[in-house]
Amino acid sequence: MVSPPEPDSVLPAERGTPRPRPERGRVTAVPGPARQQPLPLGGGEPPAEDPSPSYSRQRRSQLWLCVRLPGIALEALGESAAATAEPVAVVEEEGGQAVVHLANRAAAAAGIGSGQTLSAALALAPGLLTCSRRPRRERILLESLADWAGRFSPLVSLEAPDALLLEVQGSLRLFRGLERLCRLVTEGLRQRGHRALVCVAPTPLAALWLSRDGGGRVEGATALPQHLNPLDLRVTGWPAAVLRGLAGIGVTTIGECRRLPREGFARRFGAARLQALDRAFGRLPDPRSHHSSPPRFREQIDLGEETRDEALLAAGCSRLLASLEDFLLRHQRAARRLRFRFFHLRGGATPLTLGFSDAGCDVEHWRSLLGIRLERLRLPAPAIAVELATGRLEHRGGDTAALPLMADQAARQDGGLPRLVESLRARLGEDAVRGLRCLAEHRPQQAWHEVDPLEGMTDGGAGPSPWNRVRELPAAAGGGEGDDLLLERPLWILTQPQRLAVHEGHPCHDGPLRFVEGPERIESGWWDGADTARDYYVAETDAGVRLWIYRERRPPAAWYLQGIFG
Amino acid sequence: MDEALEQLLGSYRLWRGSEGAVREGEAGRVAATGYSRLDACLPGGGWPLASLTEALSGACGIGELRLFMPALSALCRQREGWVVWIAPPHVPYAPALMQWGLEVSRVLLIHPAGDQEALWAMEQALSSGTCVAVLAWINRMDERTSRRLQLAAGRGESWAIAFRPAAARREASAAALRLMLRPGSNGTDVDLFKVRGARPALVSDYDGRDGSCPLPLMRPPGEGLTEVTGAVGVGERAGSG
Repeated sequence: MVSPPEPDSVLPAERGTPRPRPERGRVTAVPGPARQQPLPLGGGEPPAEDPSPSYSRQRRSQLWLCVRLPGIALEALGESAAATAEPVAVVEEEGGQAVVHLANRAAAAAGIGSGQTLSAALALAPGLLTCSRRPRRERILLESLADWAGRFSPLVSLEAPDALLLEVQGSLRLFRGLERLCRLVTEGLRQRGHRALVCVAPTPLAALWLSRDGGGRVEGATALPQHLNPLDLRVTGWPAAVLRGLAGIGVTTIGECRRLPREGFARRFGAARLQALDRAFGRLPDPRSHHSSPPRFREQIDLGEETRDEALLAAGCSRLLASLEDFLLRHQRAARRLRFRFFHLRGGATPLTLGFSDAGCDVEHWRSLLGIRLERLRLPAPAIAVELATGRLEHRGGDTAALPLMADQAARQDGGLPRLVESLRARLGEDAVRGLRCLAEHRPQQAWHEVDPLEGMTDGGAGPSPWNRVRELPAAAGGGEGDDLLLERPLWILTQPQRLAVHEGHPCHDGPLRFVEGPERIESGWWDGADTARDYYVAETDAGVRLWIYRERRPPAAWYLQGIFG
Repeated sequence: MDEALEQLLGSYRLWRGSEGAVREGEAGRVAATGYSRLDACLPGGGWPLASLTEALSGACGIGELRLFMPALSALCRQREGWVVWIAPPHVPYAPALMQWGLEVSRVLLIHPAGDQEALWAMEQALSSGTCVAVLAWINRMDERTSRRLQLAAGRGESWAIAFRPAAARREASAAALRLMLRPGSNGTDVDLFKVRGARPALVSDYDGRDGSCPLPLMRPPGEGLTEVTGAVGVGERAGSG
């Protein structure tokens, strides 16, 4: 009955395995004519074993592969917990008592098994390391494995807490037979550090129950009763009260259970139980929902020890990034924002966010940015774990490659320009890197503004005002600077005009100023509250510094320094 | 005597002015300054690109930006990339940049927290290969740093300009070109006191605002001697390689 998969085979690389094409709109099962007559009271063969017209006849038959991970409670705790040679037990609270949920190999060798109380376990192995069960992490691990299993089947269903169900009938040809498919699944999981049991049956529940009994492979619906009947009822996972009740009337196997009258059984133990039995034997359809991974990425790793060491943190983050890269490739997504969180043992977490100008999946670039940030990161306490989460993921556009003829365009598209901004921002902060834009405005104060340098990288902002015309190069102008309309503007501007001292009616800045040009009257802005009426002059100090100064036209007609001709 | 001379010439500490000169046909690595009398004093006829230029001045506003603007705007038209301003003393005025022909959208202003950060940003920008030029206002910079910047500029093929206080003149530096701006009798004088591949020179009133165009001056012997030891002296080689 049990036919373990053969481990000796050379496997192709995982990535090379083609992903089965999902069949859209496929119905897992259609309702078949469930037979309503009661089960015989005893003795006779149950009618399910007749060659009855079940739904699988009308529809293409299904084949379900159940992957059960008996060690998931330990494996979810991290590699160190799963691989250690010390006795380790995962403990959970049950009825106010700490009970061993799962023991590792070393602990099992000491005689510790599931269901033991913690005190009994500690008596057997005083050096036992205990960890409490982490259901959320188990769920996350199971989901990530479901994502991975998507390469074998278009329909992967989660069976919490420890199993995955894959419909593989359509994948058999692609993977060249059931034997090879099972081997690929077990081997793939083994490489990822998981021990897996693989079972095959025509219905999902049958596959699941068989896997709880230790394995098995049933390929035809007619062979189901023969394999399922001898199974202990505990494989069904029904509540303990139901199992106790059944045991009380001397029913301990599935076969015995099926000999009970249907109506009485449903009344006494719940219609759901009867339904489960019918589903397991293919008398009722068992539609399963496909697990589709969330459009976000969130993964956490343990660092193994508390650390502040930059290299260790970087190594941890690097592993997360590698996993993210895999995720993005598989889903053809791109990320714009990465959030790292460094968890501290005493609670709390330090966040670190990386943002990019462009959604992408260039892990090498992210790594270098992260390196810059980690250098500057000051953790308030050593970190014990790191989590990486992405914000909303965007669809990844195809890469457009330029033709060799259009070398100019290729250079423009290489994305190098935003990168510099990103890496500078990673260390100096968002606000330390700015860009400039001109505005069509006569008032000097309002004729420019600071912007995000990456904003609208293609357009040059608003048009120039008539006075801000591009001036010719001095060399090209050939000394002919006779354009009277060209009013020279200073290269430096003071964000706040600086009031100048006045000595005998003459503005001073390191001594009295000498006027070179002017006045140029700028009067504008009565409509927006920043009304300006000024006379601008170019003035020179004794040291040869040329300044752009103005005098308010309104009283008190003070002098101000506006800019410096650098 | 000859032996002693040869020994001296072979010494790694000796830097010779003719070394590292821009050879004919390598004119792509210089940019015309836009001021003909300056071009005449610079090897290759322009600012040495892909290397570090140090501009020293006592005060802000005596023409230290005007000096580089024509070359910067010409470079921007030739090549794609940022013009990075690190720790400028004031805000560059966008309409004025436009008047000089510099594309404003390519200006990147960086406000670092201190000299260390500024130097880091400068090196990062230079070696990224995406900058046409990197202008940085830096007070303290030792010789090792200047060499790093010089290398980064070569790596990223961008032009590094460090604006520094006049007191920095006495410090050793690996910059390919060091110049000092000072107010002269008429206009601003540019004192090219270290020029790799050419002799030091003084250009008075470089932009000729007053119309007078004196020819580039060679240094008077007395002054020149001290300058030459400053630029060509033994021990400078490490800074100039």
